[in-house]
Amino acid sequence: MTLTESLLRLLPDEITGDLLEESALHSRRWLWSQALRSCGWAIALSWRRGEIGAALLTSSGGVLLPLLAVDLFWAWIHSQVPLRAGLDRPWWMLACNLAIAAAGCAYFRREWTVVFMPLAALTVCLLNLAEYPLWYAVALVVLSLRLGRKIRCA
Amino acid sequence: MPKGDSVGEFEHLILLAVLRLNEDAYGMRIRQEICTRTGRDTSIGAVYATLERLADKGLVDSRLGEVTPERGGRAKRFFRVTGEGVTLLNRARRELESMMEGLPAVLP
Repeated sequence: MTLTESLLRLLPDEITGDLLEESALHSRRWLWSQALRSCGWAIALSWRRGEIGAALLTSSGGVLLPLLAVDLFWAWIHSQVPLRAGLDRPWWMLACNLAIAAAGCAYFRREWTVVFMPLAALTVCLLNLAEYPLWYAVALVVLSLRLGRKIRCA
Repeated sequence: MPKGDSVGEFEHLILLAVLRLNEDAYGMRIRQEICTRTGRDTSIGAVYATLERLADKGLVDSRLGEVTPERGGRAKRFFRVTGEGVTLLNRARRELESMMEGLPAVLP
């Protein structure tokens, strides 16, 4: 996918449709410049329509809060064990977090998913930086986006 | 006149373009109309953001049109100036004409 196509995907449907229709009369450079110049306006438009607020709310409600809940659950289990040496986070914690994040990525609007879902997953990892290694945060973000895309296409 | 009832210069141009285009007033055509008549190369995003603002003020309304293949299967959004919008334009025209009255054709 080219940079122009990626930019067009971020714009509202009516703007993308108009640009595609008019691009037949202009060069590719014109299309690229129009798409780039329209990005700021598209963000303002989405904010005005309440789309950004809704995306922020759903990403925090759909990904951030469940991830934090799973993490709190593990913290509680950990606190119940007297001898904690060697008690690493089990593999199913990653699987569980991954399932939550991937479901969020698959469910919500693609354009905002790319921005807000990784942000939500990263926020949880950063809140627990001492607990999570860096590879865990990166794996969670990359795998959830890829898995989310697969679920959406299926 | 309350401050919220007035429109800016670009909003004014958009309203006039929608009026001129009549049934064919959608984003691309509005942008082209402004570009042809004023020489301003505006972005399509700016046109839609302004139309949204005008719709919030009740000066234009919109409906979705047909889906065409050259638009990648996306529908057109057609705009129409409301009665309130026409009233505002008439008032603005009267005010402008009144202010221009008595001035030379080419301003010094």
